[in-house]
Amino acid sequence: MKHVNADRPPVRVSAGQRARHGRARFWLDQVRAQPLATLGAFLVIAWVLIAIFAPLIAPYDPLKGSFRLQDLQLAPSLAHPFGTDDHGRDILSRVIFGSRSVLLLAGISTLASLMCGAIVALVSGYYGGAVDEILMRIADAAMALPAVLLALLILAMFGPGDLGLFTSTVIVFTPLVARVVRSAVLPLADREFIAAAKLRGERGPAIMLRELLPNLLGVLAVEGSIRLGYAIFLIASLGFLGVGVQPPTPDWGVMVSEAQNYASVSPWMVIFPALAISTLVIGVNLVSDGVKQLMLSLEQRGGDAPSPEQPIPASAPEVAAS
Amino acid sequence: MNEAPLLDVRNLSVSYRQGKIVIPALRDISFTLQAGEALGIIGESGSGKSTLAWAIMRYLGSNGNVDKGTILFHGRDLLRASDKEMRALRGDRLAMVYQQPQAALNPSIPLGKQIAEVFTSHRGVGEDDANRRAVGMLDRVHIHDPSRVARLYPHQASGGMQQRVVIAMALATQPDLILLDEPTTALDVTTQAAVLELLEELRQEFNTTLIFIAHDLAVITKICDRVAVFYAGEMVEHSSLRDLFYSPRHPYTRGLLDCLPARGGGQFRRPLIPIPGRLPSLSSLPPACVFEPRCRYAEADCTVIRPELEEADGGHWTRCLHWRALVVNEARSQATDGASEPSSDQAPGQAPQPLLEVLGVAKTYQQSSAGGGLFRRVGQSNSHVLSAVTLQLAPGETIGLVGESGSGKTTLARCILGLTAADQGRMTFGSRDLPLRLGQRGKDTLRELQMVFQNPDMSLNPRHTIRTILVRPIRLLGRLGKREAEAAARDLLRAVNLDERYMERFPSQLSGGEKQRVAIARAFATRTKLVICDEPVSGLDVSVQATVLNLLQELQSRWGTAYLFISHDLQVVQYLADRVVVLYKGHIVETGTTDQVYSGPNHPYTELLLSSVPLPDPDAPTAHLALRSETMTEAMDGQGCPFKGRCHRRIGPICDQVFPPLQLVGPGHAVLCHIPVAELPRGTERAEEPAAT
Repeated sequence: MKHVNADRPPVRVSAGQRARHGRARFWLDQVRAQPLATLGAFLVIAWVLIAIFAPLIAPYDPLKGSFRLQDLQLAPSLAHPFGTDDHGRDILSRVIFGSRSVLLLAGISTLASLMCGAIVALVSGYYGGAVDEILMRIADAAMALPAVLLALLILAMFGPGDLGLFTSTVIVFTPLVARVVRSAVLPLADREFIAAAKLRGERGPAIMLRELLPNLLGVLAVEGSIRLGYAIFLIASLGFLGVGVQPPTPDWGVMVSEAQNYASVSPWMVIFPALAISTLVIGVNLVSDGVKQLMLSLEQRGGDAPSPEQPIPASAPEVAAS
Repeated sequence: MNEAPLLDVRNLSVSYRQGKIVIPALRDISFTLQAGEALGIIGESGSGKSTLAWAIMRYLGSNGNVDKGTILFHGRDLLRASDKEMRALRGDRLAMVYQQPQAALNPSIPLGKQIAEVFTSHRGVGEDDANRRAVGMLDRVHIHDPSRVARLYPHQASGGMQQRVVIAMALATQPDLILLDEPTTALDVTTQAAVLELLEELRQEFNTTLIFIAHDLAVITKICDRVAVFYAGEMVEHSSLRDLFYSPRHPYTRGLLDCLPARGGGQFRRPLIPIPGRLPSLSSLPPACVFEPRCRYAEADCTVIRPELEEADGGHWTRCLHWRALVVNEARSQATDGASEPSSDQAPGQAPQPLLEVLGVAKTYQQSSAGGGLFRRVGQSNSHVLSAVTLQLAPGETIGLVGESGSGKTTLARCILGLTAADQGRMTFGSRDLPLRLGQRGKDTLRELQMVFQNPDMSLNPRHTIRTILVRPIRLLGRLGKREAEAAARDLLRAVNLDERYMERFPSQLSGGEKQRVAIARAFATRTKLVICDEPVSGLDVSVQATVLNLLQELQSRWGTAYLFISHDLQVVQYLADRVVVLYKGHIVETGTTDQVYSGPNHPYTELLLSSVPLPDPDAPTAHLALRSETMTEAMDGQGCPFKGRCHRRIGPICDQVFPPLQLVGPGHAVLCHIPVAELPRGTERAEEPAAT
């Protein structure tokens, strides 16, 4: 799910095409060329809208339970399409409100890990040598622990709650992002435009921000979309383990975890929050595949003359480098 | 000629699909090839020359499509042959040699075994027999100690050796036709000369039919009988080699010959005549004549009538409506050519105060302990990259720095620029001391010392507009305000003959030559006194090289800038440089004015380099030095002369034991050699190149 399908040909976009038909046409072409990514985008956008308009959509108060026995663990019906849980709360409303904490927390922590990861990668890749060695060994150490275990350790220090979740997600993801982005920095740092920048007396930070960073936006976009999927997953997992979002705030992970005792009697209590997690994660992953393809096709669009000799395998492109 | 041709290509048209767009890569190509003939195919990138080779091999990718035409090989249509038949033909009767030997060889199989596989799969011989034959083939391509090399893996062999192995594989089954797709483009001059000599020899021995694809006219002169010139997917001219060189009948061919620096030789500082404009995009070709937008001879009907391939003289075909105008023009230009005598009197005066002085600069790279021995290439040891290099450069002077790859040219440039800190030595620039590290140099030094890199795709930040690329150095080093910097950038663009509208563009929207002109503009942004050019034209198409070289000269005469011009192309250096410095393995083996170096007496290595240069002249004599030198093993004990291992003129044990003295052979002309000055080789045969045209 997280890998680019190798057989899928990259979507080719020529600049002439774009100029002729404009931006709208470009995106329409992308939609046509990438139906799965479009489906993913649809899922993600749907969840974002649900999260924003949760109070308008949700039929009940997600926190309001009932003490009457006949309201508990009701099977899905017209009144409660997703049924009710063991406290008599409407599951549909809880799933709807649950999207808020997940999206907000996952989104913010993904952005923060992208920033931290990019900084580490730039410093490490540009300066190289001992700086690189030290930073990367620390990253290796952090990556040696399973993600959930590391997050649990950090949460143990901060205590459960949003701040702990945010911090642990950032600490878990930063080394991963840094590793990937650094591998994109290394070939760039050898490029001669960096030498040219040094020759006009640019300082390190200026080279990193002005020369290197703009060339990393593609990698960061791809990496961000992948990390977002993982972040949703990690936050739900931590919720499931009881150290994430704290009850009674509706959270999908917590809902699955609370429902596991009743799974055989009232499976809807597990199925619907689980479905919510998977549709969102699948949606994010499809989008991330799409972003990857898009970046590939943008990269290949070098100049407006697509070389017809490029797509043939087993031969080098014609470079006049005698 | 009564025999049926070996290969008969008729009306071949090939196109590539890209989404909904169909791109014509080849249009209406027809030619025949008799057994034993060698056909050279010349064309710039996108001309469709490789597509032709792939069409013959039936290697067109899934998006390639033969629209019409036939390819008859031994009378059988290859385009209609079954996949099984094609598999049997490829590697047996038909073989192909690619530009990149690294890509053609399997990195995890020893070289000998890869050749042996050809015998086992196509000849069905046993493994022992196949191995024996493989060693025999290695011997045939002049590989020293073939049984040892047979056990090597591709990465352990040098580029030239790899390419010879690929040629051995192609020749193994004695195929009827070998397609060579730029087989020497990725190689050094001397290695290229060695491969060309080998091909020439093998062609005579095996009587193989060859199709030799190249972008450079000079390369094919020794090998081919006939030449076909491709432009934008069409064959624009087709004739015998000599006819093509001496009386081209298509304006494009004429243009290609005119923009070569050493055409005819001796024309010191004649401005090159570039072909204006750029290669058309195959997806939007001109409707009639494809060359019309760039053609000097174009007339109104050229945009309307599509020219057909027309026989100009016997066996000389051209696709031009007005080739007769070309003939008339030729006669006229011959008359004027004779009148202009080379003006070589601009020999540089010994300036009292050199602009740049490099004293004993040395650089040693530590061999990384990880895989030092295991992954080192045979015949390469790069620990001493520069040993005590000393040179002087006067203001406004151009020094050409030549040598093979690995000679330390680029390292010397980087040391002067401070990008790489030299280990030893001292440098002065102007009246100031030049610190070895870039970080210790002041803004004044940075401003006056700039560089033009080889590949503009690498040296221009793809995410910056031309405006940013030009304005930034002006503001940083020139201490100008925003508006003044803008104006200065605009002036610079104009100075490199680019339109102001380019300010807003990104490098990817420019052609290769335009990008390099932007890179040159950047180097000149700050009233630069010395610009180091590292192979600034070697990545460009032949027709745009001349534009860039002319520009460099123009800027020099306008601003009096000095150049340190690094190149492996000795013709370009001869054209541009006042003085030449020859570098071999980090030692300066010869230095002198351009005339002195090109007329001798020379260091044996310079002699080898000069004899390796392919001349765009079918009648130029060849000295067969390269192959001999290439096959010799390199001694690496670090004693004696650095060139002893490959020297074809060694005089005895003194070469192995004593480091040679720097002998003065003329005013300002020195050679690092034991051979007495009077016996040093003189380039007599090179000096009198017959004047072409």
